[in-house]
Amino acid sequence: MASRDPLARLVGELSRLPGIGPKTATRLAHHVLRVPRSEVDALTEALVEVKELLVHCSRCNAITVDDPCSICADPERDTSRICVVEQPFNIPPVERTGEYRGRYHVLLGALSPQRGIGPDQIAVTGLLERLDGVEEVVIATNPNVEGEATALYLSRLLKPRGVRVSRLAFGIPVGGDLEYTDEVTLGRALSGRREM
Amino acid sequence: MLARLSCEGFRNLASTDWRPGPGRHLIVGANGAGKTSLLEALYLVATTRSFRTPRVEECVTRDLDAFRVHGEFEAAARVALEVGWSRFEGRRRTLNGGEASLTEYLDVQPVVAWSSADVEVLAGAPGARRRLLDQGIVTLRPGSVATLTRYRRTLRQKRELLVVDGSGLDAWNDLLAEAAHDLQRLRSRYVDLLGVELDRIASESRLDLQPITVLYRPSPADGPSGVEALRAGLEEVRAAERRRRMPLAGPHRDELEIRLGGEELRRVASAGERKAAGLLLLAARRAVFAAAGRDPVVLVDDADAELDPRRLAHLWEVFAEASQLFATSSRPAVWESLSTDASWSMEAGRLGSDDRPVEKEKGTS
Repeated sequence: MASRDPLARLVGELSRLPGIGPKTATRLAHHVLRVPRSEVDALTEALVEVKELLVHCSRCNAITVDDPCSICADPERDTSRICVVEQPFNIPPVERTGEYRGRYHVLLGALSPQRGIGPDQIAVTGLLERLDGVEEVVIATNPNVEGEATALYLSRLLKPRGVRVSRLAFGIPVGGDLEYTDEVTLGRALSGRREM
Repeated sequence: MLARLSCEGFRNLASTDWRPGPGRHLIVGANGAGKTSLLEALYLVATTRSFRTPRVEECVTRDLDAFRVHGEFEAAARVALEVGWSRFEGRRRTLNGGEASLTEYLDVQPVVAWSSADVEVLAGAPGARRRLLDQGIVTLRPGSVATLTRYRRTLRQKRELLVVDGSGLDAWNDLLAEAAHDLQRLRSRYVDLLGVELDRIASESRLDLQPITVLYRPSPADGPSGVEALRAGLEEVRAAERRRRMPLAGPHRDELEIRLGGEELRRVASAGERKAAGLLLLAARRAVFAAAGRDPVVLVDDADAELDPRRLAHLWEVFAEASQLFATSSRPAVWESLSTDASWSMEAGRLGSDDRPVEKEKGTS
């Protein structure tokens, strides 16, 4: 049953957000109570706008106002490369590096049988339809078990189609310490070493 | 080395603040006096786990809501570890009062232990022996936790996949082959080291026991030789796995065979021989870690149980090289002719220094 207490209702709604526990939700709710009405209106408007104006790009699945998204529509981008990521929010970090000028494809997930996500639940078909003229697919799924399995799955799927498949290198973080690097990371950093 | 141990709300122990020195310590007391709980507290604070139960909340004193075990360990510098549990906040662990990763925490003080539950390792199902191997590789290098975790997560996903429909199995097998190879290489190297130390200890000891050998039987058999071999092994059982809807090859099916005089120990050994073999294995584990610069604290619960006085004396000699060891016993008389560095008595959860001279004879340290 919905709570009649508006504050409790707000706390309840906020604590459904990922990463927000009851304590943080309570703090946020009290913050909303304190700020001027105009700020709350702006927040409400922003929330509604996100739902009304944003769509998934019909080519790459990125979040966008205009379809196709600005990256897919940009004639300056290198069309021979596609970087595959799990989620739309994985694109900005890659963009910020300034090292990549190709296009993207968002899978909207990663293989995880435990969560009921198999090959049919991720956006693979769309990727296969975009391979014309593509020379390289850069797989940038997360370096965890699910992301790695997804990368291996894609690589098995793409290689027979004559596309070069690469994977982001694994290694020791900048500023890291060899002594505290686990064997898996260090082993991969060694096997993926580069000539200087 | 353990320099100080204090605990509150732990099992039947009274509030304890204990400062043991180096060498071999004997803790004597009647059944139920709290000897095993003291060793358990020490094991828990060093490893974050209990050797008696997988649920640490069982360690809290009846009718209390929280326990806390604090240990100070002497290495290059003194490091404080603490493990606690409370009904309201759950488990927590700190290193020098702050947060630390499990790897950093486990890096502080290795511990090896023998308790009556370890008979399982020698005589029970293969899972207990695999746990012994994994404890070993993590003690040797705490960074191996990452290798183990990666393998276990991958296996869990594959297990689920086989139950559901098996689509995308190739990708999971590719990943499993990599993760399994990393783990099997570590297990195989550890068993080699154990074998070497078992041979050395047997050759130096006066113990009358047939030779004990350890044999690592990976699944698939040539798994440790390379990722390709593992992948081929997984491919071989592929059809059977889909039929039976469960993973049939990989490190979760590895076996560590422990042999006594060439026969499988769990089938031929008497209770006394099992105990002696268990303690020899403990000594070998200690030596492997010490040789790798990870000198462990040794815990032996109910040390003299199942052993005749001669065997006990010969086994006690084997542990002369331990830099710090804590043994418990409910029969003080059998220890009278054996040399210890310190002796303690335990009564109703309280620890006291025994009447025997505390610094009787210095062990090697």
